[in-house]
Amino acid sequence: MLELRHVTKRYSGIAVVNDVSFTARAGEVTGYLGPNGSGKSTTLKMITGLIEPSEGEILVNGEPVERDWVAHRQRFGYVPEEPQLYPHLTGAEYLEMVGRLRGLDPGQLAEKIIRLLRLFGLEGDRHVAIASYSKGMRQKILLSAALLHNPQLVFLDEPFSGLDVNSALVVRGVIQALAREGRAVLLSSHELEVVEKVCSRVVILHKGRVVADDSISALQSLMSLPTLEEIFTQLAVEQDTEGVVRQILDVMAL
Amino acid sequence: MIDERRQFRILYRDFLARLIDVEILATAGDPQTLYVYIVSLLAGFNAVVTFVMVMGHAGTNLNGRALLLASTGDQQFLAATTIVIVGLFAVMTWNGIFPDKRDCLVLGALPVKPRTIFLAKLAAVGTGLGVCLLAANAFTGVFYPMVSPNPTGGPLGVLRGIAAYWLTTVAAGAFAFCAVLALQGLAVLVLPYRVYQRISGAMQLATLFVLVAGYFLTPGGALVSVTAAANRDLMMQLPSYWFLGLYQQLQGPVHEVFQPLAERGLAALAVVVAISAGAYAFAYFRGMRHIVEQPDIAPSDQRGWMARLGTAVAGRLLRKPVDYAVVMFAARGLARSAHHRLMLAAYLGVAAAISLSYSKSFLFAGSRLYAPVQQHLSTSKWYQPNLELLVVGWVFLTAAVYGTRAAFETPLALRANWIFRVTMAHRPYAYFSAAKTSMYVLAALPVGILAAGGYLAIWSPGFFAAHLLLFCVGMVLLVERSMCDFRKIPFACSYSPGKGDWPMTVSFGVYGILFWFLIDVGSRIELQALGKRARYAVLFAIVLALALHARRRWRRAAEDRYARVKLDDSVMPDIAPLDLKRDGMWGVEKFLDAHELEPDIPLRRRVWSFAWKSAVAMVLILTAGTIYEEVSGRLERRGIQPVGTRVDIGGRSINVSCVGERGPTVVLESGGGGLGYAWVGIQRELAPHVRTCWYDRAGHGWSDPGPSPRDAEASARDLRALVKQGAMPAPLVLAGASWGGVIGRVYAGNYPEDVAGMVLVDSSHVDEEERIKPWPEILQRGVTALAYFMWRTGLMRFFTGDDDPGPPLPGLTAGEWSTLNSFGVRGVVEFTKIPYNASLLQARHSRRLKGKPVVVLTAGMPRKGARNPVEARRDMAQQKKWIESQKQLLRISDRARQVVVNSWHCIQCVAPETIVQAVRDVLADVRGGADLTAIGTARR
Repeated sequence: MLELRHVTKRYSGIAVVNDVSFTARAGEVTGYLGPNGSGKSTTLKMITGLIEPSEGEILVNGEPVERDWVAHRQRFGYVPEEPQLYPHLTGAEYLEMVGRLRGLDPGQLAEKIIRLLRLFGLEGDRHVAIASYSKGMRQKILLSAALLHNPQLVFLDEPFSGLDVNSALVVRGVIQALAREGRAVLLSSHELEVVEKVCSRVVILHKGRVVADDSISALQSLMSLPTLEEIFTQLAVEQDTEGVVRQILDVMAL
Repeated sequence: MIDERRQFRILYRDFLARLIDVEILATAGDPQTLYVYIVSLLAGFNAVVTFVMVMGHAGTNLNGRALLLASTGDQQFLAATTIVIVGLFAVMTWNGIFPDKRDCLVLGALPVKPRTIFLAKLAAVGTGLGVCLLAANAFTGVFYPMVSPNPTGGPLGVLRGIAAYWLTTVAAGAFAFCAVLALQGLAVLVLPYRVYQRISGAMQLATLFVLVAGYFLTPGGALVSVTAAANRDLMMQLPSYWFLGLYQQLQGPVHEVFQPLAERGLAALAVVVAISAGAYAFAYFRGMRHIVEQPDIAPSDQRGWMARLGTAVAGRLLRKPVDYAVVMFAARGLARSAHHRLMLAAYLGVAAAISLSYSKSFLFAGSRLYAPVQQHLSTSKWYQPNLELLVVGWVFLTAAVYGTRAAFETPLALRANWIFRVTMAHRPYAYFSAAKTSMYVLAALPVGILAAGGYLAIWSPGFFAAHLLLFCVGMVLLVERSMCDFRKIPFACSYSPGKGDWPMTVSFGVYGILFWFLIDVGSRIELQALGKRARYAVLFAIVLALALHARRRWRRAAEDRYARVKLDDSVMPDIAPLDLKRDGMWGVEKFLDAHELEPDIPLRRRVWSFAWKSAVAMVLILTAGTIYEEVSGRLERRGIQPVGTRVDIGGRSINVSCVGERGPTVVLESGGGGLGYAWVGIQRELAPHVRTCWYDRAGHGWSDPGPSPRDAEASARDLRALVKQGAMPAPLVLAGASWGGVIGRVYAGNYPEDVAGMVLVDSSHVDEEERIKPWPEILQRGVTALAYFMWRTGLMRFFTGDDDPGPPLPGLTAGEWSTLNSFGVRGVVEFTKIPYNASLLQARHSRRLKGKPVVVLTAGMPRKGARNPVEARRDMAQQKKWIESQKQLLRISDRARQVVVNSWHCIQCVAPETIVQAVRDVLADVRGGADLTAIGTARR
């Protein structure tokens, strides 16, 4: 179980993540939502150790992660928002490198790699350099790399970005299956329809603060709104979207 | 309304900024800084060349056509240098000249005509080329025509010279640039874009190597007789000579040889311009659409046989998972990143240039072109251990290790480094060890294997094994030392701001020169050690100790509890506590990054620690050396019996050997540090005709040491004492070699009544006009003390003595030769006791030998060992000056003559018969009154 307690991150005095507390339980998919710049990716980077929090604690199974950082790294799989990969490596080579760095047995690793690539439809391109991959292909490699070592915690930041419909369905199914098998999954995504189908709970962030942390059904009932999109718009969207659309058309006509 | 001129200006500025492949030379490089740096480097180099050329021309009494013809060496050098500089510029702009996919995608969708893009690119390329030519000839373009003007003379001659210079320079530069462009253009035209993309990097590296190799292998114009018919065919093949011909033709032809060269150059220029222009135009007007359609980087299968083989071998050998991951990551990065490959290629290119420079003697031995200077080339044989090939191996090893180290420091896809952070579940030591393993696998071992194969193929097993052992230990030393401060994963660390832009900085040049010097000296030491067990053992022990120390140092740094794997270049320690930036580090680790934040050890303690460790090491080395010298000396002298008679000259003895009965007495005086016994062969030749004596000066051979100073006067007094004792009865014919000639002159000047005649065998001598001063006594004593110290501690034997003495001198038996060599380096120590300058002055001021016959034998050849024809020519020129200077010795007597001998300084070694003949000539005169007044110079 992942728990954040009063986690804050400041840059030059400005809190981009402000006193965030929530829990991602095993066996659940927790959605982590918010507009662009609300602090979602920053939170995930703090959880994975890429960034240090200014304040607060991050705990896994009640233990602060900084006590045994090595053990924490072994427990989670992470798909970042930007599909940054080494372009000179092939898909298979990248996965092999990640697997070796995680200490996986070489024989089992090879088997895992080929099967994952096959399942994601990348088997034919496994020996091609990542520089030639489309965005969707890179996303699949990232997902494969995150799942190679059978992690207990899975953190996904915009995992559906660039995926075609088939692949998105597969990923959705994988996310649900991971939760069913007792893993804690933290999913950050703008695809509210998918989040609504996949997640049992959502945490909504607005300007770095948590503005909602409950199950979707409870939020619907509380706010009397039928869909997650409407709930999200109510809580986190300040813009008059229709007004903005009108103004864009005006600028074009200048 | 589209303004084409404005579009042209915008595109021109953008293309100019992107002309040099900045991604290759500096990951975060600022183009403007890079251009300024390159221009400064070229102009600085040209300034040095200008200075050397101007100084070389100063004082010449040639002018007009003669000067123009005599300066072909300089002109060829300037043409060759322009060609290679512009060629390298073309290699650096390889990816910036032809349209790439980015240009096509961005510009193709905009309302810009292909004509505008083409002209803007052409203008940018032309500007770059022009700036490069200007910078590379900034000073020679003005000053060279002034010192070597057109034969017309006057201001008009200078102006015409400047015009000819720049026309030739532009033509040569255009030829080089368009040749590279033509090569690239043909590849773009002929090959599918994907294939071209795949081999483009290899073509770039191959072109770089061909340019560098061609520059160093082309025989210089200073060595080639351009007017000789035998050389014409070769000159017609060499581009730098074509433009030499063009320059000469533009200056007003002074010889028929230049016209065909100039014509060849212009024809070649026309061909490459036509090909490159055609390919260039096609690429822009027809090719852009095709480029867009092609995938950016060829989605090729990376399962080449080499990749599969490498993976299989790595899987077997690299058992630790981190080792495998990091080594394969580094190997693939190096193999597939043009950026890093070119960086490594730059280092290897320099190594290749140095190697070619050393190996030229092997390449040109027997060459028709170098026929006039063949006899002055080094006599090293490639199939025996030699300095040249030793240097080649060490240079390539050093370049591979430090080039790979530089490549490891250069980031590759920084933003993808997050994967290393999130998988960092091992101790930092594991990553440092893996990085070092990468260095062994990718750099050191491949060079080692190639070197082993090469040396095994050409040298005997014994020498091969000895060198390979030392090479392996040296390899360990280099790798451990180079990786000691490397706390990163290869290619996976950023630069601090301002630290990344160092493509080929001055520091690279300084370290390069230092390494070159160390390799040269080290190779000479190794060469002396190969084949001699004791010396080899000492050398091996020293290198092994250094390697083990380097390894220990690496281990200590890698296991340090504060050590962390750097993925970002760390903050300065005095800024970190201010906590301005709290990214990138977790918890307490942020303040404990590597060596910057180690506990501060007081300076005094560090100095003391270094001092006592150095003192202990020094004592151990000197003790070992003293034992080595003592044992070696005893082994040498084992079984050697003294030759001669010890004559008491008052409190000490001098060893003398005389054979023969008939007078006068020929006294054979040895050179500096030499033993009288070396004359035994010549003594044997002369003894049937005349009493012939040799003796050991004080402190040499079997004689007792004498009181200091041991100047020429002191030695002359000892000789006089021997004469007075009757050991060598007067009258004397003195035959003094080298330093012995100085003693002979002083003796003859002080005791002319004893001397009937003299033979000076390449006697030491100083010009009458030269102002020399005796050394201060304290300096003399200091040098002697140092020499004595080096002798007794074995250092002198290690560095200079114990060379393979080779075959016996002419006239000596093997036993006599062995006896001669049994005295080791003691003679060198005794020589340092001589106040050399003071003694030369004594000789200069000595009285003349009026009416007495004197033969001055002068060495006509320099000693062999020139490493290249340039050195050989210089040595020959110096020898000619020496021959001229020795004519001054003819003033010793009105009956003196000079004989120039076809030998180097040791005439006794090469042509002892000339000494015997000279002595006989003097004897004949002394006995029979033969006329030796035919003053002049004869050559034997």
